Amino acid sequence: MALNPACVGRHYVGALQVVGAERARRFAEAIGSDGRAPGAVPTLAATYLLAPVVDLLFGDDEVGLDLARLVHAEQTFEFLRPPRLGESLLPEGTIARVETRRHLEVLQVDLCARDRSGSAITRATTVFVIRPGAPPPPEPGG
Amino acid sequence: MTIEGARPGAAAVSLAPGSLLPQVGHPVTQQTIAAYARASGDHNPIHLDEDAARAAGLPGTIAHGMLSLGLLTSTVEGWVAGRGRIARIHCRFAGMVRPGDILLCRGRVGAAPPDRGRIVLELEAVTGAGVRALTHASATVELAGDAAGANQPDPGSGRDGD
Repeated sequence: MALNPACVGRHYVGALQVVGAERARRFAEAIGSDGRAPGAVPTLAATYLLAPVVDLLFGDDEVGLDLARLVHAEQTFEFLRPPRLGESLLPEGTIARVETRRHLEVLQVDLCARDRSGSAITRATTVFVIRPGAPPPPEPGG
Repeated sequence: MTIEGARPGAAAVSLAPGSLLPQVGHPVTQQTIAAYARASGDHNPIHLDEDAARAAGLPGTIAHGMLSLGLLTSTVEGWVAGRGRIARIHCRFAGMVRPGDILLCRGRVGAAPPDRGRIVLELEAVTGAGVRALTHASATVELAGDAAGANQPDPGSGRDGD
């Protein structure tokens, strides 16, 4: 299976995400935050932005992702403002790049979480790499 | 869960340009990974199931890359300790972190003076065994008003490791 370059520009809109206090607390605890900062820790964006979009991406058969060979290679988050506890956010993402570098296939997704007014509050760039598969078996006699 | 290095926030860490930030170590256990899976909703079996991880060609279960980035981000928040907020964070996931590892988070304040109240921290996270887990990592911190004014270069700080 190879990535489908025609999927560049494909857009995904996830389900509305509520940044609940319990969700924020559990996540902060899981990453060793001491709870000093009020509200949600920055990388809670993994749950309200990255996960819902990636779930849609991974379920899109037309992209040609081989999940068994997929590696999360690079991540950027830009926090325009912290989410407020109890706030609802709309996660969305667009396939921005599909390319082949040597033996690796690269897929980049640009993501954005918007508040109810439509303002972006968190942006992200995620790069996945598809590792090369096992070489095909030699031809008989070859 | 932090076990070594200066405890972030225990004393004010210098955020002056060029300052070295105190290393912080985070133990990563299978319990840590399971807690992150529950909190994040990422239940990929390569993180949770030894057999599934081996079947995928791994030596055993591995931590989520986003767990490592979360630990690094928490460390940055500890260093900043209320003097600003993280406006941007970036990394490459370069190496595997396995249960039993300690993730050592290190950093340095970029040499450039604050630009519009922002400083850039150059970061990395390596395991106790020397695996470079997160590379090309950086965080942009937007300093709060007082910290931005006070954050001038400190002639006596940092660069000891050069």
